[in-house]
Amino acid sequence: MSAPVESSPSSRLDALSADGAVLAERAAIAGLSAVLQRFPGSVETAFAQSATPLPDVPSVEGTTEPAVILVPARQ
Amino acid sequence: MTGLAAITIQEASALLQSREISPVELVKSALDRIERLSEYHAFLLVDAEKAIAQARCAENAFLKGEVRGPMQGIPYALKDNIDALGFPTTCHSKVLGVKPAKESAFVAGRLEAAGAVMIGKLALHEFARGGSMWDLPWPPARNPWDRERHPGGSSSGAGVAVAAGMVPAAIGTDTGGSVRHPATACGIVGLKPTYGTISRRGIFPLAFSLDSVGPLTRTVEDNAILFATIAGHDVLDVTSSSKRLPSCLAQLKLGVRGMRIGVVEHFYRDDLVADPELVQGIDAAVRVFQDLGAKVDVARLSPLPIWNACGDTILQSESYAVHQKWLNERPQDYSPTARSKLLSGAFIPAVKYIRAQQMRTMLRNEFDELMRGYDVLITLSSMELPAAIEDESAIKRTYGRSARMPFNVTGTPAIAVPAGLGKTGLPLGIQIAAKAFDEATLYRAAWAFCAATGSTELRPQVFGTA
Repeated sequence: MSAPVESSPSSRLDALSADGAVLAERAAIAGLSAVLQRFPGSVETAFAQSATPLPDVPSVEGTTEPAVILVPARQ
Repeated sequence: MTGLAAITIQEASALLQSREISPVELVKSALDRIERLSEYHAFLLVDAEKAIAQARCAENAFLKGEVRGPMQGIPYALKDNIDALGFPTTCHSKVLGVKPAKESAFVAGRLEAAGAVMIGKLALHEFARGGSMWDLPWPPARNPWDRERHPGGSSSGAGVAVAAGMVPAAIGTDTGGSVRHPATACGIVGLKPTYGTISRRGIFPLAFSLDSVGPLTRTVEDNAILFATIAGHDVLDVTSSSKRLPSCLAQLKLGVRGMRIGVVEHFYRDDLVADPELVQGIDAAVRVFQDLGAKVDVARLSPLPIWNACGDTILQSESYAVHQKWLNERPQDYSPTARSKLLSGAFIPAVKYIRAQQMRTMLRNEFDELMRGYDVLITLSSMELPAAIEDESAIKRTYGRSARMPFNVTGTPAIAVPAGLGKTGLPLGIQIAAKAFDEATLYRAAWAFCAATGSTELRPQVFGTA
């Protein structure tokens, strides 16, 4: 029995609305080539969702301040 | 007949302690209502036998004169990403299977110790991240104000079960608004507390630096009772705060005269333009606070898209770290919505995540600075009324149109409270935010508003028909 393949938008990478080559390269770097083959629509959507840039906040660019992740539990 | 459906925790507790009703009667009434309203799909699993056995224990405790507090004998339910001994934790997904939990989450343990009765596990969006998907093992929960409308999420079942009178109390989780969204959509009260005030031990994570646990109830007083029961230090949760909180209940009814309230208008007038009905609702709420004697003026934070971009980057990155292995090995076991949302973190470089955390520190400092001049802020929770549950694109659009993420970014408390009904009979809501660890002031403002407007007394029609 073959594995399910996502039908939308297309199972063919070259039919993806995003740049298929870029997406394939990024997916390969992320270790998602196999997932891309089976669920190209999901990976394409994920790629698009991740592309939202952080707003240009000058005080953040170039800061050497550490990121304090656990806020503000240890008070 | 509404019977015991409309009963609040506070009312039920008084009747239980005076032995006018028994815990068994109360729990049977809840079970009966859950069955009659099963078409709302609030629950994934109900264990009636276990609930009645727990109710009998609570009854025996009352008969022996043991008093454990206001949650004794009160039925409640857990979002199904929270462990309860003997119940499977599915996260509304095929991925986790149905293995029973070997121990209860901290919050469930606290409620058990308080004598509360766990009825069952509630629907959610898959792993608290997906949407109202139709290809999961259980159908999505439906809004009791209009069954064709979305109930908000991701604590969707919690919002529906409380709003429909199935249980007076539910526990949800909130990473980017997942307690406050269903509270707003279902016209009830939902708190996202200060990060670290309620232990996350035994709860399936979404994004560890944003995740909070929160109570959903029909009234502000009930919410404060439930919060007081489940808050507290847990040595086994590294993010748990050891700070002692003042009693929220003692200050609850002190009013808002002289309270300094900032209205973050630009979130819903400029950054995103909210539905006019919701803007009218918050304008009316502002007038209520003014009439109650609060000092109200306009407050300004960084634009909402900055807060949302910061929070979303962190959420995407951290949640992918949780799901990476399963997404690679079993992507077919996720719904398309959860799969794409969770996969998005795979494409975020480490430097972007770190930048977001640095930005977060700055945003938090900005918030702290602003709060030197205010006791609480008010703004909208949702910018849209609940979308049609079958309209996937409308749901997706409304998720981005909210002002809840800023308070996950700051880690500070925020509460969603109902603010009346719109022209189509759907609930309107506002959100109130406070300084870290100042839930007491938050509840005080929320109680004053709801007492003045009667907004927590509104009930969906389902109260009269089931």
